[in-house]
Amino acid sequence: MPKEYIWPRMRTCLEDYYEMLLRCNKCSLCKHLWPANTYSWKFGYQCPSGEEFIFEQYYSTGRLEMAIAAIEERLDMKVDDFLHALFTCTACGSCEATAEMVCTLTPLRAIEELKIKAVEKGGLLPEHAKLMESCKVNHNIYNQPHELRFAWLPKNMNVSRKASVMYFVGDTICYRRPEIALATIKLLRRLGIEFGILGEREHSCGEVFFRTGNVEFGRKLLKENLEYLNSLNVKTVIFSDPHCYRVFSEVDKYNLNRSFECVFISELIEPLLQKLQFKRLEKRLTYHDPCQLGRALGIYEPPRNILKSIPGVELVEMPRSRRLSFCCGAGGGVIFAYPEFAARTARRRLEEVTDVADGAGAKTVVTHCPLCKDNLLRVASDFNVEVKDIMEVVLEALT
Amino acid sequence: MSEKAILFQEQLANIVGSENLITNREILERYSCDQSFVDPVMPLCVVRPETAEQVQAIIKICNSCKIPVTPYTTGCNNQGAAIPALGGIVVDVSGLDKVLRIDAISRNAHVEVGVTFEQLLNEARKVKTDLTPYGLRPSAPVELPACASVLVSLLEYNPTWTWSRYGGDDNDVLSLTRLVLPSGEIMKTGLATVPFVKKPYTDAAGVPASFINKIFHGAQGTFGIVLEGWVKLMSCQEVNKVLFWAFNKVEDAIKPIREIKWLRYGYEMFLINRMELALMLADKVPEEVDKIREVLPPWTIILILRGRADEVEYQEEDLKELSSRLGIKMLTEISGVDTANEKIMREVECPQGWKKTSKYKGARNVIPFITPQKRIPTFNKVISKLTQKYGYPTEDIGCLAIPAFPEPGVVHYQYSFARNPNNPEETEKVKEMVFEAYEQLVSLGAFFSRPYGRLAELVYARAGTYHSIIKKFKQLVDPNNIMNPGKLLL
Amino acid sequence: MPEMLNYPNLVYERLRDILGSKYVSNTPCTLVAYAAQAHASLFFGKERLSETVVTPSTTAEIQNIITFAQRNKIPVAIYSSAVFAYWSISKHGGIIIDMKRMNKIMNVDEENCLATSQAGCPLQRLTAELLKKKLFLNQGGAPSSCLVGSRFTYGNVNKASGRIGWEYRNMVGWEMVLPDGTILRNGSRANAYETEQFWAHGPGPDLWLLPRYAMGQFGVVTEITIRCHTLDEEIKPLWVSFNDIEDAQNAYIEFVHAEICTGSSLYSTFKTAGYAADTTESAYRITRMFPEIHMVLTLQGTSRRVVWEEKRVREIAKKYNGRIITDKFPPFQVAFDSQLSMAASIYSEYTVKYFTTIGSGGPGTGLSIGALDDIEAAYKFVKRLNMEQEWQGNPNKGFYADTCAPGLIVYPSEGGHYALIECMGPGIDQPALRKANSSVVPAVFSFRVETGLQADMHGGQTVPGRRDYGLWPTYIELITKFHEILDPNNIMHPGTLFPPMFR
Repeated sequence: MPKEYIWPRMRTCLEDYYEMLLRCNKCSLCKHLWPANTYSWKFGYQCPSGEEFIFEQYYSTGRLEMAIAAIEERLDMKVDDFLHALFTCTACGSCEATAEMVCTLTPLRAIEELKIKAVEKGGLLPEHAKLMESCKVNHNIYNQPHELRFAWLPKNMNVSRKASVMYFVGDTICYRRPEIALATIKLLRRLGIEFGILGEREHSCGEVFFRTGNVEFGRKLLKENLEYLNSLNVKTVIFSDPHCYRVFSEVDKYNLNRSFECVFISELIEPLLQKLQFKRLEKRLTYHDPCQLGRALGIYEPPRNILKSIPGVELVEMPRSRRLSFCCGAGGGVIFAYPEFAARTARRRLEEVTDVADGAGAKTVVTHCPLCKDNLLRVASDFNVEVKDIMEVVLEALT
Repeated sequence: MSEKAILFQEQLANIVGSENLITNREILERYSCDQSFVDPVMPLCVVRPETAEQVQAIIKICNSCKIPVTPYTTGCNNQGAAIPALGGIVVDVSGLDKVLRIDAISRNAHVEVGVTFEQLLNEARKVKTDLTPYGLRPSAPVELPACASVLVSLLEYNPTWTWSRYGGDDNDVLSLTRLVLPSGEIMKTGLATVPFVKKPYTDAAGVPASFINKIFHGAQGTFGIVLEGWVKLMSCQEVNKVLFWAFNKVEDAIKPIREIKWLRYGYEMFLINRMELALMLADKVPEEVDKIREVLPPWTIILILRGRADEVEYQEEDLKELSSRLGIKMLTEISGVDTANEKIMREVECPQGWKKTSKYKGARNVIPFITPQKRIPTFNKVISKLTQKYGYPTEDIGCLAIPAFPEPGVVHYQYSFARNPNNPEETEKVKEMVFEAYEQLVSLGAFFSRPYGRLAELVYARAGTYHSIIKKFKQLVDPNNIMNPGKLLL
Repeated sequence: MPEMLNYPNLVYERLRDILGSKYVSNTPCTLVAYAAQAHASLFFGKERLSETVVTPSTTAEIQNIITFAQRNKIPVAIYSSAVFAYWSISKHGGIIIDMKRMNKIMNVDEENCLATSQAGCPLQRLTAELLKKKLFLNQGGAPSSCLVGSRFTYGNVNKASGRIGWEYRNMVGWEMVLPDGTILRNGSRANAYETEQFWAHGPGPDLWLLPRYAMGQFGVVTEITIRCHTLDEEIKPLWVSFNDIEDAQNAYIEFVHAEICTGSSLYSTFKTAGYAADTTESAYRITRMFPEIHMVLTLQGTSRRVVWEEKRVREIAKKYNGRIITDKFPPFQVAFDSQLSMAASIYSEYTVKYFTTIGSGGPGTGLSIGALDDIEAAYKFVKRLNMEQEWQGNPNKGFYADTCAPGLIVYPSEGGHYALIECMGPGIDQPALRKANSSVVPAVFSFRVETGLQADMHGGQTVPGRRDYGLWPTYIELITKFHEILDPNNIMHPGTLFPPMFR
């Protein structure tokens, strides 16, 4: 196997990462929080699967070794332990955020290629296969009837199906956290923004398939949505689910085209804050940076600026925030394949929310991702903590 | 004397020459005891080899005849380490007394075992270069006189006056270039192990299994006889200034020691009680001691600043500010005692040690150990109770604390008791008191890192696993158990 | 780790009984993940994999594991942070003990400036707790992801070594499980009734360095107590630069004699550039732009002290044609920041960068132990070595033809009685390095013998496959025999420290 250096942007398959994989010298900085930003022993870790399962293959160091062994055909990619070690990666990107800076390695991208290879060789995990089946039948990953996708929309609220600005809602908001969409819509109306929704033409964005090695199917779904939106001559599409926003932003990677601009809701709202009038909201809260919004897309400040503009809000940061944010545990298809592990990771995050000495010491955590909210809510009652999306907080604060 | 013994002595005489074989009873008596409570034992004879080869030959014979060997250099230990516990012969290596080399750039000296502190000090002071315009000096020992062996004292982790600056935890011995094992083979430690190394200036890097470079430290000669090694020196300075802080109670001194140490100034620093300080300051012991003691405060912190004039000046300013903040007074002299500063300087550079202080009553016994300084008041109470029990005058107890790290917290602490060796009743009383003090201090957490004599039993009763490992090593290097048997329960 | 993923066999079942199924694994993935490390391919290749990996969390569990292994003559290897370390690989199968779960901090004793933790606590997490109390630890030149136990028993130097000694010097005590399963503690805690570790030596003969350079062959360190140091009110970095190695060496010697500053190391620009640069080419560009050698200093103390020490440093600089170039020096900001925070050895994180991208593995003397006046000789030798040699296809050749600037780091011991001198040429890729070895190795060997500079990597040159420069025979004999006593079945990481020729 040749060990030539291939420029990062030119790497298109797992084999192209071989030279990079060999360069990993196990410095283990990817396992722990960046040292200069570690403020306590308690919250000094950063890899969700490593913290849970401990063995080396659950960290990116071990997964890179698995990748080398896979390329060299020394490891059977169909066996359970391989799949378990690989697919418990939540794709949070904390390892890559460290490794790219320190030694120009991109472990997450290599892991995602490994997932693609594993799916090619052995097929999908049963739980991920179910997601695909659900999309084929119902156009969403939650195996819910397609016709109920917008059932959350009040009957007296008329929203156009075609406008130059469209709002792409996404599976998780529609079927799991519709309150986010409601809050978003109300806010857009308050701001006087004319927008439409896709209605029954909105299908799953396919993001979860990109993260679980099923790129082809994900691409198919994305293409369907793109083709429809392109045909409407839409200028802008608004997103409030970072997963959807990400795949639509990265269409180039999948050789697809879009004729419209994508914007995330908080980036849209932030410059328009002076148009809104807030009442005082006495709340001490902390903000959880979703992995797909923060590390993947670099959006850290707009949500914070929005929260800080609400009078009476005391925003306290968790020690692991922004680029160093700790994953909620749901990403990478983990919430579907390993729900207990996802819940335990959520617990770890909520410990940091509530810990007075070393964490934020807050009773309310605000996030900006429906999957984060959904996963955190599963265990929130044990911590006596409120979990909200930022749109809900903004709506609550409006006069 | 048996025929075998005569034959044995003849063999020894063949090696060292008859003039270096001592059988005179009077002289042998001097080797048989010291001021400690270790029972005196007369050696069969004393040999004084002049070369390493002679030492090797002696050890080989003793090994084949299974005759105990007790190494001896200057006999300054005064804690029983050089007393031949099980008889046999004493090998007096004080004749190997050359300062082989001084490296002025690295500030290290290559010395033979018989080199004394005073000798090395005199040699090192002459090394005046651009880098060392005032010469060099070794770190002087606490309690021991300047005629003690440099190598042996440092190997035994005897505290030095500069522990507070440099720390006592990695002593000043860099490597051993010649050590005779009980088999008669030569052993080297540290970088000296590597044949081509010209500057073997460390014992814990560059060679595998570093433990073996340290295991000969603190061994009281039970693993072999050290003949040569490299030791550290430090630079002499332009300006040397002694500062004092006085306290009525030791508890009041604990926080100031911590705060002063936080600044990391000075070379020598110690906390001393009035008795010990009086012994240090008296030119004539015992004549002047009581008088001086009367004018001294109960406890004094002494710090010696050394450096360039402007360096000492800013440090003094900082210390003055600190003292003011702590509400304590910084003094530059001790009132009522002339030339106290010079005397202290002399003692910490070229000490008279126990040879002077024991003259108070004729003999002196110390209890030295390592402890976190917060435990000192508890230990003091224990000693105070014991002195009352045994009717020992409390005012005669000497106390000395030397910070053991550059960071505050842990100290070398010692009590000293004077007694009249010609008074059997007093001696017996002090002996019982000291032995009871050992037991109580050990149980309260005093760490006797150097378990001489009776202490070995008490210490190793609580450190069984540790003792079993060193015993394994002992059995490996000295299967016939000829090297200083009876020490350390080996 | 779900139990169902594992393969039941006697070893697995027994270990599962000791630890619980979650903490034992023998799956193929596990064995692959634990089989490789940096430099492995250079020195050992991928030899026989281990059979089972365990993650104990207490000393008692480790005792049980080792007792079981000893009884059944199963090899045991210790896996700590595995950074750069090619000796964590199990070379003879058996069990690997992964120290990740042994990561608790037992005590931070502010009063005595001591911290005790389990051996598997990452440095970065311990540092975080110490910083809360304005303390820092003497972390060596390695990432903060390293684990305390292995770091401090093996460790050498960092930028503050001149004042607070090398890393191992800061190790006050440890608790070890010996190959026969007994627990050994040194120093004050050798006393079974003592709970505080405050002294390292004795009682009696000193076993303080038993774990050092033993590669786990004398036992497993489970707990360690280290000295901590106080952060001062004022901290100021200062860089003094020289164009000539002789001037730099002489200035450095005088500076070390003055016994000032907390941070005191000597760096070449190329070495420092490697921390900041992303590519070898940009490192060369930086090297060409700036003076060749720097004294990298941290002044720490009261404001009077910092003022005086700066004055003294400037005097020395002037005397030896050095310049304080500027306080802020963009390419070196990363190292600068680390000087400001003596605690988070930030530059240490970038150790990884230069190691990975630039490659500190270029031909040179490597880590050596010597005196301060050996610096010039080592530097000039490495320069000559790299300029004279022809590396086929070496993209660095041009650079070295006109401006060869080796990577140099010097850290003195406390007081400067000896020093670690690392001097390496620019990194070249592994195939070229392997090709170069045939001419480099004899040249370096001759240089070492001529100057008396001993290599320090891996406790000397006794690694199988490397040239053995020879040690005093009695030394080797004693350590080998002692090892035989402690570990008669040779189960603890066999073949690591004691190569086949010895054991």
